[in-house]
Amino acid sequence: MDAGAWGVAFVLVGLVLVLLVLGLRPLLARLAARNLGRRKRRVVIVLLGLLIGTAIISSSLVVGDTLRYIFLQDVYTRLDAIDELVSNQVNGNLLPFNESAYPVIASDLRASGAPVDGVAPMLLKVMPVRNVVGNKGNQAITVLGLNASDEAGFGGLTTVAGASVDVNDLGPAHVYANQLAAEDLNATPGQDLTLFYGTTNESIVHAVLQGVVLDEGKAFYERDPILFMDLREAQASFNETGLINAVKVSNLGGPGDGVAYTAEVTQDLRLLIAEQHWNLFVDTVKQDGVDQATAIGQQATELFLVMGAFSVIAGVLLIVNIFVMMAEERKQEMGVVRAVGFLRRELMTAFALEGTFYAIVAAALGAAAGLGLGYVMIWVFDKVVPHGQVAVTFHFEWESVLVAFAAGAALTWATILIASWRVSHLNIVRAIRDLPEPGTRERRRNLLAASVPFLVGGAALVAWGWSADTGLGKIPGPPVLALGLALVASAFDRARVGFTLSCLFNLVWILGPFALLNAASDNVSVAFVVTGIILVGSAILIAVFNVGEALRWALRRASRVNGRPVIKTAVSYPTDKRFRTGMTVAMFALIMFMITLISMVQGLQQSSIDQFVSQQSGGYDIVAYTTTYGEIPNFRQILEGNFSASDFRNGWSGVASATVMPAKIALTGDNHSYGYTLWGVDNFLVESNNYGFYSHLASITDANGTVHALATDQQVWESLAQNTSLAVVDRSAAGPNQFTPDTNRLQLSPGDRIVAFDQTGRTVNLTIVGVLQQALQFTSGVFVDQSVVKAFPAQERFTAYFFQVAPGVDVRALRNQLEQVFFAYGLQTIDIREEIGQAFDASQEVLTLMQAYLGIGLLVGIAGLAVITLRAVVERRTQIGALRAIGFTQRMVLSVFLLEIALIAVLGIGIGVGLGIVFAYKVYLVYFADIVVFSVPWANLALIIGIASAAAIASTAQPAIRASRIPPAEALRYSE
Amino acid sequence: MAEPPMVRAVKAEKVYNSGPVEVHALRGVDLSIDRGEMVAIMGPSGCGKTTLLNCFSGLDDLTAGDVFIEGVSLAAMDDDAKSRYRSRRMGFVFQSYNLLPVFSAVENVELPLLVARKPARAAREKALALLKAVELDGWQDHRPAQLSAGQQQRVAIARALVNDPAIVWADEPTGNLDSETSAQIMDLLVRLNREQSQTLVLVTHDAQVSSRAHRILKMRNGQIVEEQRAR
Repeated sequence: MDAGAWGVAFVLVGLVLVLLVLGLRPLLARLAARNLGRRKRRVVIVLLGLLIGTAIISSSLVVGDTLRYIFLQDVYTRLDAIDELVSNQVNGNLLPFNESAYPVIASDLRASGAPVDGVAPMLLKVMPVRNVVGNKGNQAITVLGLNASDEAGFGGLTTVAGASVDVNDLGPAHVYANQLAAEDLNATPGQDLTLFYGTTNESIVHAVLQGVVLDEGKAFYERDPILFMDLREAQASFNETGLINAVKVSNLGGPGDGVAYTAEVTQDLRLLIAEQHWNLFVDTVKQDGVDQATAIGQQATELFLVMGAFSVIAGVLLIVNIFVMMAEERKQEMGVVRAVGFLRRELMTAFALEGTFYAIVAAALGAAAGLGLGYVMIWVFDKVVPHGQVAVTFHFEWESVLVAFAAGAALTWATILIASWRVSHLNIVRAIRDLPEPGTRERRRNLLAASVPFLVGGAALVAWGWSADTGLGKIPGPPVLALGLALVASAFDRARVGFTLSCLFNLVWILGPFALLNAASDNVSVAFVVTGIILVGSAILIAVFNVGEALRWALRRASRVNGRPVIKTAVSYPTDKRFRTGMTVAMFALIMFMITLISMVQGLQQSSIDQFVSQQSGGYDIVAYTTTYGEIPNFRQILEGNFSASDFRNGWSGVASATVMPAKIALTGDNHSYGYTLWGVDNFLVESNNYGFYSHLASITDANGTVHALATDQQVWESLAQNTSLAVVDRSAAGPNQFTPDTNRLQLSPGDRIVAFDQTGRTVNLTIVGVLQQALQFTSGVFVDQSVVKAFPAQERFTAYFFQVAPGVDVRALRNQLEQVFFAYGLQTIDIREEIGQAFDASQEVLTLMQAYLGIGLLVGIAGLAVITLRAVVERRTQIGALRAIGFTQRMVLSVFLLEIALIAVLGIGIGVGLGIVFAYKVYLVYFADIVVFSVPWANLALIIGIASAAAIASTAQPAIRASRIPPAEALRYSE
Repeated sequence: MAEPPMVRAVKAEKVYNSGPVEVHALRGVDLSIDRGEMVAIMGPSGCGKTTLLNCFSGLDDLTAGDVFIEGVSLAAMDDDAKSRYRSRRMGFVFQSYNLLPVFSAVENVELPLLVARKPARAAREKALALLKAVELDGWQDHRPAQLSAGQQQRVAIARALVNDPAIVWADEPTGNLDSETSAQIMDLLVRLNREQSQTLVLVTHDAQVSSRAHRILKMRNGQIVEEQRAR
């Protein structure tokens, strides 16, 4: 049974139980209904507060649904009928193989009865193409050679005029272009296109555009601009007669269904390849895409749930707070009800029935609100996050909404049932007479009983944490144990000392320099939520047990002359109701903690951009790659013939190159290998780069035993040319930081020995001499002397070029000129600063989006504050009358309420923001310390604090004003 | 010029609008109470006793007529002025004490002085003295919930007297107390009235209580229908 079915079952069982109670005990139902009707306004506020938690869960699931759907649709669009590819692929480069393999594959699949409905050969080349008449070119056009007679399982092509065609309709030296290619090349039918192919020599093919086909089906393969040719024509044109470089396979069913047969078909294909001893591989492209889409959806849901977890917890606190207050409010009448013969379980049932109304209605509203919230998130995501050609469409599964409803209802229900059970255990006499809490012996027994699960649970977590080396045990274990001890202390009337000491210990435990997390195996998201709860919870307990004393002391010091009755009264109520105050403070603090943390990370990113660019770019402004494997022949002569030395900082020395090869890296003697890029740097790069080192060896010893000191970064770089067994590696190898948070990367330190090998098993042994500061995605990997990489076969490598642009030179214009001059080689350029800037902008927007998302959680805190203010106005009505009788003016009464609200809000906001800053510092030490100086974005935080404070005051001002305006006589007459 | 009476009511009327129904709680009451006088107001439930006390003390507004306290018209005072007047010149004792549960006994007692902007230290000393006067020395740090009903009412009396009011309004001050404690509380009120020459207006059902007053006013249907002087 899946989660949705469980949800339905849960809700149905719950409803049946409720109906049973309603049928069998209508009196209880009437009691619950009357209580609901007593304060309609509060019912609305409570529902609004309660629905937030469900809305957060619902929106998290819906965002995950949408992202999964978007990426699944993208996979189906990009691959259409293709489920598997058989090829000799080396790091993304499709190497040609004999086309005789194709009929063998097709007949074998037919013979074995494999669930396939299409098998076809193809020759896929990516090359620069220019349209001379249209005066436009593109360095990376996919040219696809197909055999129409084999294409039955993959559909045909449709011209923009609506005619069905295929490559067998093409005339000699003619091609079809999909709409993307036609647009990129500004091409119309009849125009001559120039196709540049080759590796080391410029080769040119001319083809006439016969027609433009719609971007759909196989004509939208990988969303690339494509030219379609007849396979034979392509083989002849590109000097690859008798060769293909892929066999595509379509499993039974449509684009979305075939993936079900992937395992079966792949097994058949791999068996055949093994039998034939071919150097071919099966690439499960559709399955991989579907898996990736599912993973993205799950990660998005997890991210939003983790971020929203604090809001959900705040929602739970709100439920507890509301029901505890309800119990207090009805204490006397419940005592009377018990006195006239109601059983304890009947009282609990009546209370639970009332709670059921809240649970079901709030969960239903919350699940629906989550849909709206999810829609807004996706809408904003569409606007602010770059997503290329991927179409962003809002999508949700009803199952997700149902799961959110069930989770929200269950959470509310469980909390209400526990609260109801507690409420039903009242002492009748104490309840009727509204007497204070139980006497010492009874209270001591209860507290000691409550401490047992904490002590046992804490001890178990400690034991598990250290025996299994997991932070999920180490982080909460000692704090839970400490809370157990605090409860024991409370049993002996030492609550304040006990909780203060235990919570101080907890703060030190979490914020101290202890390595509690097992980065390799722990679920960081769960650990983060647990850490946040311990931090915020501990700070709140310290506050509620000490703030009253502290404020009273401060008031005594400050009030020697003036008694300050307003402040004194305002402080006394919240410090007297510790539970209620603590819960409300916690609601605010949890949300503010998370918002502050995100704001801090955002601020650190903002302040690091310039330093980061200079550190990560190595002094280069442009990095360029060729589309095709290989290198540009006579690169420097062409460069010097078309550009001026003054275009580049350091003249011609400001241009460098590296031979690049995707490879596998493993620690010497370790079987586990990691995908890495091998960069063979030329002397220009060694001499002119500014890449700094995170760490490096102090010296190296050459073959003669001479020790060479490595005092400067330059010396470290030069050591690569002097000793080709040395290598440097990017920052990601030194452990996770903000840019490479993946803890599964190979961890390397200077002095480590590694082996690098290509797909065919050619190896080279290397020693790490330094770890770089930079870890940009497009320049990350292991850096060695150029000769090391050039020793590998040419077909496995390509070339990257680095340019230091002289000040005052237009980078964009220079890029265009470079791409134009080296067009035939498919040179594509990247503006490093622009690229980093775009990534930063997207990251900043996402963080802002997360803050806004969490801001919704503030509504829980605000609802909580509104509820307790409403309650306070009711419960203190006669006291307000008494205050007015002894001379309090309306303004003084209003001030009492507003100050009281302010105290709670300041505590919540202060604790949340304070801990957020402190915890952000810990995050900074792990992820940012080697990149930026720690700073606090005060302006941003001030804005957040301002919004939270204003919302708190706005939500509570009305009942406070109402309270102050009650005529004293009316207030004195009031009874609940 | 002769000193004005402590309280003078002229054709005092109070009408409550309870939906479509108008309830005449006070019907043209004329009344004068002298300084230092102890007046008991009696009558059946709903006759307007508490309304009279609330309206005459400025806790509630009259619908028509006026009340003069020490010669000053309540109708001429705004809400703030009435509040300030109460903090300086009036004390209140309620049937259900109406102590602030979050304050200790001494904090409850000193509160009116702090409201009247008296220095904190002096307020504390005065409050402790009053608690001693009501025989609660040693109980000053206890919260209301930790005190018996009689003790709570003593704290309420101390709070009512701490600002040396010209007039104390007591609404059923012994209504929640047993007869023995009631007698003790009344002894205390009478003693303080005598010692401090304060005007005391008390609403009660209890003949034992009213018997201690200088004058007894009997109310019915919002009117004073009978007046008895102490013998």
